[in-house]
Amino acid sequence: MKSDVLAEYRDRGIERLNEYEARRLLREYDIPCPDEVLLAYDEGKPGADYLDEFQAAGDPPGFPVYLKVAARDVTSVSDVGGVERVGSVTEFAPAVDRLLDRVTAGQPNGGIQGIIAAEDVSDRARELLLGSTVDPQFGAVVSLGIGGIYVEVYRDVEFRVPPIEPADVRSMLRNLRGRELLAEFRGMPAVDEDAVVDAVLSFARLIEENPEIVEADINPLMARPDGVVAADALVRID
Amino acid sequence: MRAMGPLEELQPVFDPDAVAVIGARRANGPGSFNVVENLDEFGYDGEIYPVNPKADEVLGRTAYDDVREIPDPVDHAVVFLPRHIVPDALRGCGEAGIPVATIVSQGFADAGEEGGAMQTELSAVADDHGIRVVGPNTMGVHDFTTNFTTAFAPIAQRGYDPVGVISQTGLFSMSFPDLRYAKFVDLGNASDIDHVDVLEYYRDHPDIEQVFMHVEGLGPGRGRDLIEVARATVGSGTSVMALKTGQTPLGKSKAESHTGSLIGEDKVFDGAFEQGRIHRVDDYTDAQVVNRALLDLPDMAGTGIGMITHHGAASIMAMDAISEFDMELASISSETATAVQELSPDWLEIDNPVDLGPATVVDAPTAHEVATEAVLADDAVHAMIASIHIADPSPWPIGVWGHIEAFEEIVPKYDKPVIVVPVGTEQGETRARLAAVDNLLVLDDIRQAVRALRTVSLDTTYRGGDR
Repeated sequence: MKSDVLAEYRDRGIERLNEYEARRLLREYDIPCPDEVLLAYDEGKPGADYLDEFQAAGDPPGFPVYLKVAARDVTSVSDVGGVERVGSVTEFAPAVDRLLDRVTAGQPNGGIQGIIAAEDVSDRARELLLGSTVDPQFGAVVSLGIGGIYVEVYRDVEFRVPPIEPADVRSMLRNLRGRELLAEFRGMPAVDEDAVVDAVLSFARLIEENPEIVEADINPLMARPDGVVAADALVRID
Repeated sequence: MRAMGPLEELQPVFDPDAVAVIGARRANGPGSFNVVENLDEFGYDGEIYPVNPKADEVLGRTAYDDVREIPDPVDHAVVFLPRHIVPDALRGCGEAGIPVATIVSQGFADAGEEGGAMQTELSAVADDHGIRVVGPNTMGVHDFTTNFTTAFAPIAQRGYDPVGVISQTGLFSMSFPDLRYAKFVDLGNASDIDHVDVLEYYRDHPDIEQVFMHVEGLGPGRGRDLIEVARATVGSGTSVMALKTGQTPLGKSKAESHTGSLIGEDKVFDGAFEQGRIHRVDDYTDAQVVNRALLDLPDMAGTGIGMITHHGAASIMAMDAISEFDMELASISSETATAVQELSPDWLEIDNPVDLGPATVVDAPTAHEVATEAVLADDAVHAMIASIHIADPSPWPIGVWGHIEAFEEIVPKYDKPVIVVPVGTEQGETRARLAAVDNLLVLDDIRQAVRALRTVSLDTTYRGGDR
C-alpha cells in the first residue's frame, strides 16, 4: 500500500518534507511521534498570537515543549537557530519572537511553513538514527545506528537491505559498537528493544512501498524504556 | 523468460561438448597464449575447432576462416580477438547458433568511454542472438571436473575439492595454494553472466558444496538478487563466502541526510552478506582458513568451545578470541574436570581451558587420551581447540606419537569440530598425521582457530535455516 500522505505532497509538487510533514508520513506507518501542533506562520505575527493558537488547539502537549520552525528548505533547523525549549507558558511568546528573529534575520520569511510546538520526548532517551538512502547496487537501504549530532563522528551504523526481518534488526543492534547504551545505563532501564524492532520494520515497509523516497532520516529516534519516538525527521522524494 | 534452469543454461559455460576458439594462435609453446594448446594440455576431450583465416591448421586441427563454416554443432566460443572485431565475431557465433561465448579480449568497459560504448554494442549483439556471455576482459573458465578451460596461459592440473569460485579477476585462479576449487569463472566486466547467475548454477550443481566469491561490485540493483540467491544456496546446504574489495563511487553524492552522508558502500555489503548468510573473509589467509574449516570440520551444534593446552598463555589468547568472535567458553561438567584432575597435582585446579601441562609431563599419552575423551564427551562442548606440543623429536621420553594417537582414536568418534594449533619448531610427520584425522583441522594460530569455529557454528545455523 502506497502512502496517501506522500501522494498528497507529491501532488503539491513538494520534494522535501518539513519535520511536521515527515512525521505525518511516519504516523501513517505507525512509527510513534511526539504530541505536537503546527502553528500557522505569518510574517509579522507576534509571539503572543502563536501562544493563543497553541492554547486553542484541541489537545496541546504539556510543558516543557520544543518550538521548532517547520521549513522544507532548511536541512538543519537547529543550525539556523530555529529551536527553543520552553519550560512554561510565560516563556512561550518571547521564545517564539526570539526564534523568528533569528531564522528570518538574513531572509525575510526564512522559507517557514509554520512553527511546531512538540512534546519533549527526551526522558531517559538514547538517541538512535534510523534512515534510508538509495545504494546503486542494492537499491533502497535501511540504516540503524547511534544517532544525535555526532553521527558522522562515530559512524556507528549498520545497514540492511529490505525486506528486513526482526532478526535482522536485533543483529543490527548487536553489531553496534555503542550497543551498551541501549542496555541498563546510568540508572536508566534498558530501552524497549521490541519497540525499536517495530519501528525499523515499519520504516522499512514505508521505504519499500514508496520507492519515490530517495532519502529519509529519523535522527534522533528517541529510544526509551517505554518505547521509541521520532524526535526529528527528514524525507526527500523524487 | 528463459525456459531453462541455471544448471542447464550455464552447462556449456563449464562443460561444453564442442568449443570454437576464434582467434586461435598459430604458434604454440611458452609465450604463445594458445588457447587450443591449453585445452589439450588441460585434458579437454570435447571437440575443438580453431578459427583463424590466416591459418590452415592449428595443432593438427583444421582451422576455419569463419565460425559459421564449422560443420558440426558448437556450444561454446572463446573469442580471442582485437576488440574492434569482437562484435562481428559474436554476430557470427549467433548465426552459427552458439549459445555461450567467453570474450577474453580487453578494452571494453574496462577502458573508458569508447570501450564502454563498444561493450554496449557487444551486449546488444548478444541479446539479439540470445548468446550468454562471460566477460569481456576475462581469463574465463577453468573446470577441473570437466577439464575445460578458456585460459590463454597454462593452468596446473591438480586435485580438487567441491568448491566453486566466482571471481572478477583471473588472479584467484592461481593465488590460493590451499583452496583447491573444482570450478572457476572470471566474470571480467560481467557484461552478461554475473555473480548471481553463477551462484544459481553452483547452488544447483551436485559437485559444488562451497562457493568462494570475489566481489568488486555488482550490477545496478543486483544486490538484492544476490542476497536472495545466496540464502537459497546456503539453505540448500552449500556454504558461501565472499572477499569484497574496493570501493565504487556513490550514486547519491548529494545526500542531505545523515544516512546519506554515512553510506559507505562497503558497510552495506557487511549487512547484505549477513542477510545472505555469506561469510565475509578479509584476505587470502582468511579465505583459506574458512575454506578448510567448512570442508574438513563437522557441523557445530552451538558456540561452546572446550580447550586443552600445555600453556596458560594459550588459554588467555583463546579467551580473548572467544570474546572477540562472540563465542562461549564451555562450562565443563565436574565429571570432565575430575577426570583430568586425577592426573594433575592438587595445586592445579582443572577447569576449561584444561591445563594439561603437569599431567603431560607425567604421562603424555594418558593425559591426552583422558582429556580429549572427557572434553569431547561433555555436552557443553560443541568444539575443541588443542594447543599442544607436537615437537619431533618429542621432549617426552615416551615419544611424540603417544599423544597423537589419542587424537587419531578419539576425535573421529565424536561429531564435533577439533582444531589443533601445534606448538614446536620441528613438527615433522606429526603435523601431516594430525591433518589426516577426520573432524580435525590443523591451524597455526589460536585466534584463527576461534574465528574458524565461529564460521563453522554460524554456517551450521545458516544451513539449518536459522540465524
